[in-house]
Amino acid sequence: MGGALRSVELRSATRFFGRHVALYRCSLKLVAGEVVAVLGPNGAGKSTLAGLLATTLAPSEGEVLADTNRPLESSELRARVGWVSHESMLQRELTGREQLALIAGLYGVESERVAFWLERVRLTADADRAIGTYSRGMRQRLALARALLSEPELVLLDEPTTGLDAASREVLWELIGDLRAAGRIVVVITHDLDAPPELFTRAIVLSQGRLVADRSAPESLSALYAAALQRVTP
Amino acid sequence: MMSDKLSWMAVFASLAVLSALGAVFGYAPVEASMGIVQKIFYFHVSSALAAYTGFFLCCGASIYYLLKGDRRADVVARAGAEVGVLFCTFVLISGPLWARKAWGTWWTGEPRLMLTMVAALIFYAYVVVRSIGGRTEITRRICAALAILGVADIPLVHFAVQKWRGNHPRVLRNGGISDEMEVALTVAMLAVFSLFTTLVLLRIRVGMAEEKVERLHRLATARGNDIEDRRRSPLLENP
Amino acid sequence: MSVPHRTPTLLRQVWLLLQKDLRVEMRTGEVVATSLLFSAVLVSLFVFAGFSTRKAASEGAPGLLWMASAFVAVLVVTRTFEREREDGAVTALLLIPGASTALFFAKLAYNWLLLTLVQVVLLLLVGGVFSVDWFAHGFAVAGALLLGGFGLCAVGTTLAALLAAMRLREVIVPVVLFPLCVPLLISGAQASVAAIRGDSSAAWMVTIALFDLLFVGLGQWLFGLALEVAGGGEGDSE
Repeated sequence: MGGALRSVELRSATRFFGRHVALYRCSLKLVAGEVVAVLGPNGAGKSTLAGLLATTLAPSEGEVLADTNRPLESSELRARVGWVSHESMLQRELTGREQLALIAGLYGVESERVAFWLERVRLTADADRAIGTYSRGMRQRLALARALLSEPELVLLDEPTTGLDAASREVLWELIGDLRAAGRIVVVITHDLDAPPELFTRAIVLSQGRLVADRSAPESLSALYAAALQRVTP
Repeated sequence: MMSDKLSWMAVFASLAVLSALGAVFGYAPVEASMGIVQKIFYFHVSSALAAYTGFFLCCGASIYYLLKGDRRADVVARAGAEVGVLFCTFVLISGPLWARKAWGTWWTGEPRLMLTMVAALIFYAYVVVRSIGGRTEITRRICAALAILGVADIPLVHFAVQKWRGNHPRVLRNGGISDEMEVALTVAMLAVFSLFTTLVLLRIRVGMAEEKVERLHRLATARGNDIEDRRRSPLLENP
Repeated sequence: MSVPHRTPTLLRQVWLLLQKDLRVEMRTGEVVATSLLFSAVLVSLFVFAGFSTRKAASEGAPGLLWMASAFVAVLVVTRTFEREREDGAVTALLLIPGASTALFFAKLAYNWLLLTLVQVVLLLLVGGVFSVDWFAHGFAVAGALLLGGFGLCAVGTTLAALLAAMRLREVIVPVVLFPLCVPLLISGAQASVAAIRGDSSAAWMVTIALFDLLFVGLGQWLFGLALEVAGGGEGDSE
């Protein structure tokens, strides 16, 4: 693999689904070390944005670029994406350990990392139970471990707090802090306006497929969200 | 304008079909052993060729669509498949009629008829998947893949069927037709192919219109949002 | 804290994925149990429909054997991605370099293994009911079945990926799979008939092998393209 990923950029990216406009002319540049909160009501285009960045969706118009010139969809770059979506992306019949070992093996990551990540998301005790028996929060933590196992440089977290209790949230904030310190690009899609704002270096708001607000070092997510949406729907 | 050209094309196709009917029933002689049923032959053969042309057109356009993602190629592929299926259906109806008269049975192991049946089944499935899947990208890709798999299968089916049934004594032979019959066949061929081309072009036009409606619909949604864009600039800090 | 990735070979990825599917199947046994039961029911239908009491019953036996194989193949193949799609596990696999190719070959191998297992039972059942001693005629029947089963699975696995997100998938997979596999059915049944008569079945075997090669090649290409969209999770509304 080449050097570290320094930036990811959407240039006037638009995505249609049939007649529906999911994301419209969205331009956004994310650089290493940034932790970006993506806010917006349901259907605003947040998950489409994640799909474009994860390269599982292609833009209908516009471009998605890495390091300002390379297209992100080449598989070399796709390998650097870690994605926690609204689906857990886990297979219920496997145990937690088997699931992580499979992903590690396919990426070619050292198998010792599996135990490390199980410990990191506090699932060591339950590692040999089938994922189907996990609680929602446990599944979400395992999904996090799965996404971070390959040490991705672009981390996409779609509603990562879903089903997490207070202690698990702490684990999540801790992980995000580590990623930031390691100079990764982190995108957190969230409805959780009470998330600690100091965690984020930047916050954007989407509404009806448009980028309606973009602030560095937000003081309060809920205030920004309210201000942004007021402008759109007076 | 395209519509004008297409109208002329349609007029030409109608005239060609009329003259083909004239040539087949008025000019070509009634065949001795088969009687009037032999007239099927002229349209049966040309429709079969038209059907395969449609399927190959569909396959070619599908490959182009998968490689380049050009939606226009998908529209062409769809037109080829649908019109091909239409002509193929006619072949599958006229074939047994011929067989009944010639060999006294509705269905025989005639290799070409079996091949046509397999091709028809595959492209019927194509049309069904199109309508179930709706106008989505997944459906477009699925259908492109089906067309490629189907057309790739045709030589294999042909080979297997020939080898299995090829030594059958009752194979239809085209040899020994009179000059008048040959003229009638040529006119029928021309008529069927102009009809085929007209239908394909019409279907393409409908398809392109559907694409345009979709584009305009999106544009309308997007325009509406543009007006709001001007009011919300103060919150966009990072250019 | 960057960890060096040693990109694994395709073979290793295929093995990991195949191992995973086998492990899950051993744990639940769902597919094997239902497929075996289904083939027993199918053969009993042949008996009740009167196929086994006809005069030239053994002539018809290879055809029925192949028909039963095709039915079982549909049953096995349509469930190929059911488990992975449930929680979107396919998407996680698609982000991994090379994994979509590996997934095709792993699923193909897995389906082929299951189908072969069921075919062995079918061979015994049909052989018993129609009083055909398959192995008296050399290994042509078994060989054709094995090779042909591979072709069935190659087409079937591709279709399963293509149609994974489709409504009415259970009906559409056989509707497309059977016509595509007509060359296999003809060649397979004829190879067996030739073997029973004591003729050479080599030409039929070559046809089957050609079919296998063609559809593994095409399937591998189309599989990647299909998953690209279908696995995107977002679906494509409207």
